[in-house]
Amino acid sequence: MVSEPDAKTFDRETLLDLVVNAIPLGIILFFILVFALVNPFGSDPVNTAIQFSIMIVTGLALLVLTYVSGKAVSEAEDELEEQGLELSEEAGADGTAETTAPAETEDDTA
Amino acid sequence: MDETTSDDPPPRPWDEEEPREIEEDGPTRVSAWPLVVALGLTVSEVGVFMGVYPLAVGGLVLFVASVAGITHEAGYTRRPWRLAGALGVVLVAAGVWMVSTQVPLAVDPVVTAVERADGIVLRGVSVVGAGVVSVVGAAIVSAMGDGTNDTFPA
Amino acid sequence: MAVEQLALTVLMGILLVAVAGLVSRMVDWRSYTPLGGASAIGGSGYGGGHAEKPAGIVRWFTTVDHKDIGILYGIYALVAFFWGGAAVLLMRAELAAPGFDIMEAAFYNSLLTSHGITMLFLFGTPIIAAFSNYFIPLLIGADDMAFPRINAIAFWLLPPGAILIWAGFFTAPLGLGIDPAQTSWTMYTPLSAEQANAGVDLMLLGLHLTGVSATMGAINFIATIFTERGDDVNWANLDIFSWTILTQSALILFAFPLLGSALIMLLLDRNFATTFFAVEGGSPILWQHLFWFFGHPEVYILVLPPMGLVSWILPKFSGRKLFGFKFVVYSTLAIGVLSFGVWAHHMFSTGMDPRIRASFMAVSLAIAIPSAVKTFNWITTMWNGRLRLTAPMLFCIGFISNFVIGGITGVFLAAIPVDLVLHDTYYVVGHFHYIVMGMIAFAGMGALYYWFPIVTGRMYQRTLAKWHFWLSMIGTNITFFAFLVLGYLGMPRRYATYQFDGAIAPLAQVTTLHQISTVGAFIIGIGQVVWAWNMVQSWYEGPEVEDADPWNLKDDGMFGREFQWFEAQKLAADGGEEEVATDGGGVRPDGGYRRAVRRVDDE
Repeated sequence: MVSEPDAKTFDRETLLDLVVNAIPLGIILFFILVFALVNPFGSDPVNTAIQFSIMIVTGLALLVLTYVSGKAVSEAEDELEEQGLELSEEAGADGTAETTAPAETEDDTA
Repeated sequence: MDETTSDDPPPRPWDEEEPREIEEDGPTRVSAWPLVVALGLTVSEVGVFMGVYPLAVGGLVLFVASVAGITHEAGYTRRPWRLAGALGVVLVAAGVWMVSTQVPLAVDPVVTAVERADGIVLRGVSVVGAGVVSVVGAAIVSAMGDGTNDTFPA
Repeated sequence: MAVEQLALTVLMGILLVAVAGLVSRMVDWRSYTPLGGASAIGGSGYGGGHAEKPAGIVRWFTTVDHKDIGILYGIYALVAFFWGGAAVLLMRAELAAPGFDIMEAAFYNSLLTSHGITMLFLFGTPIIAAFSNYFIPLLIGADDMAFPRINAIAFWLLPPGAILIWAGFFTAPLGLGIDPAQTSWTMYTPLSAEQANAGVDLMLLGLHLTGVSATMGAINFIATIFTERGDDVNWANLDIFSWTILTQSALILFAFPLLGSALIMLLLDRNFATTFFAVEGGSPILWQHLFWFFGHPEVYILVLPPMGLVSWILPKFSGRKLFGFKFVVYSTLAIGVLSFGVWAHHMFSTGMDPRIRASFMAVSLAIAIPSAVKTFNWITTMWNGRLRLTAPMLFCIGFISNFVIGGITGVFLAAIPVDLVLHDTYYVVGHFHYIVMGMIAFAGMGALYYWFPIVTGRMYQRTLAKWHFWLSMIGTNITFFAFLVLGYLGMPRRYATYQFDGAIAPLAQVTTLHQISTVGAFIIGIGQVVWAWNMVQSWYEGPEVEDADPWNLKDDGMFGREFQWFEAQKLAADGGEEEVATDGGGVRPDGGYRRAVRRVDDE
């Protein structure tokens, strides 16, 4: 993956992470279909347009943000992996004993 | 963040010891301006909106002065008084516009409107007043500072 | 009259220019004394880190240090919390019996308005800003906020804002004809447009200022998190609290300017005869749309950072990494986006088009998923973990428990048929109080205890903290569960009395439930008094923290960046090397690099 960074935007693990946002998207999609098929209130140009745009715009915004953030995170992960670092919120867990060489060389360049 | 122009004034005494990008080395820890800016904004908002004219003028002048001060302190401008004057001109323009929405811009109609206490005209006049005070004040202080010391380059 | 005023103004203006000139001279001199170089900061250690700051009260008025500003935000929020709490205790006392017993309707309405606005705008947002100001720069390895002075301006707009919002309470006894606003926190038109009371104008102006403040803060946080991260912090290892603050700031950026505009429109309607929200103009419903387009994101503005706090603190006392860290990140972002597509679920009963209403229901149901995902993540984090029931942990667990009730009641309300029945009843009040008190306040308390050692260098009194938790937890559930039941009985919101005809609702049960929730509210109140005592006394007299790891986080590989900073400060104070003693970014967080891998490997 590191050797072929452009082969695929997301690897399998990232896709798995992104699934979390597929569920609300799925719910919105479900309702779009339902409201398209079952229409007890009739159609009206303005109100029907608003009805669908609320769901479609929100869904699209979610899709775009998920894509962009997923991309940013997975690129950042590649970056860390190239530097031989592991991922953790606690940069520096375990106190001083674990002061590793890669971290130092990486930081001195800055 | 540095504006480099040919008409820069001679460097101030501390410019040699301290680079302008103070925040590169370590954050600045002290500034009296934020409190003044916030107070100026509050007082002018209440003054203009509620029609309390001394507060309106005082607040706006305070706001203009403190914005000029904080911009200068942060190194975004070298001449705080020029910025204060410019903001004063903006206020004059805004105030004149406010008046012009109500009465024709001539002496008599404006005086009449002020006399019958037209709320919007009075507010406009107070904003103009704040602008004038800012411009004049900036000019005076700038003239005072010129030559005697270069703390406030004109 | 007008001429006198003008003369006065000119004099005042001239005076101000003179004062400003003097101040600037002084300030200019002060801020350019060598603060930035190693000479000033380098030699100072923990506690001595303020050597370059002026002493005494002047320090607090002039500080632009993110930590000091964080403390100011915290103190401000807690003052507001007690104001809002006192208001609600008076209200609950009034509601202990059906009739008017201790106050008039007007005063009840004033308290109701003040309680809501104070808790949401003057406690909720600032207490989050307290944590984010103090800890975001430490967590991401930044020197300070991106714009320290704007940070200070944002804070200093809040106290005048609070004074204006509360102004009516101070001016009413003076007989000026300026009374407290009685608009409720939603400020619905036409009520709010037609109350001829300058107190309402002052409140709206104050709210506008707090909105400006929140927006400035949000811009600052976005800029800080994007541009000021340390070299070794990127999007892949950004901590969860920073993620939630980033999302919150984006929400503020889109929501608060809209509130500001709507407030100005309302002010114009009130004072200058515009018709934005008049029946013959833009219609009163326009206000509801504008208000809730701000108001629903505001809910998530208030709740996302507490979720981040819990996601950060809970694993520390579970001995395990946060389960599904990235699920939490992506679901936070999802909530951020979806929160802008649900606002009209507050308006299902306004008679809007049923098709549009249905769409808002769809998105409202969808937004429940990311929140539920987080709940499962927290539970699975604790599953099989080595739990340590410290005060911060107890508050985190209480948070989850309350969120389950508060969240699920919300899902019901998102369904139009249920909402039409329960709209404007105590059920709704119970639902959102489980969220704002049960979640937001609980997470805030947990974080206060968790970081108390860093901020004060001392430890709080653990027994009192446990008392605080249990009183809060029991009180919250008594009070707000009774609200839910009251809602099912049809008790409407916002009333000072409840003398029903027995044919409409069972008065005896309603009275009992109101009395139960009054008791609950006072239990919460007692808990907060215990807590206030604990905080103040421990700050002055608590045992000093000897070790930089008061929570024994190193044992689990969970020694976070903020405690690493704390350790560096302590080392420096004990005569360590000078270079580690700079603030925030000076700490090289590469000391000991992350053996603990986040996810699947653990399980």
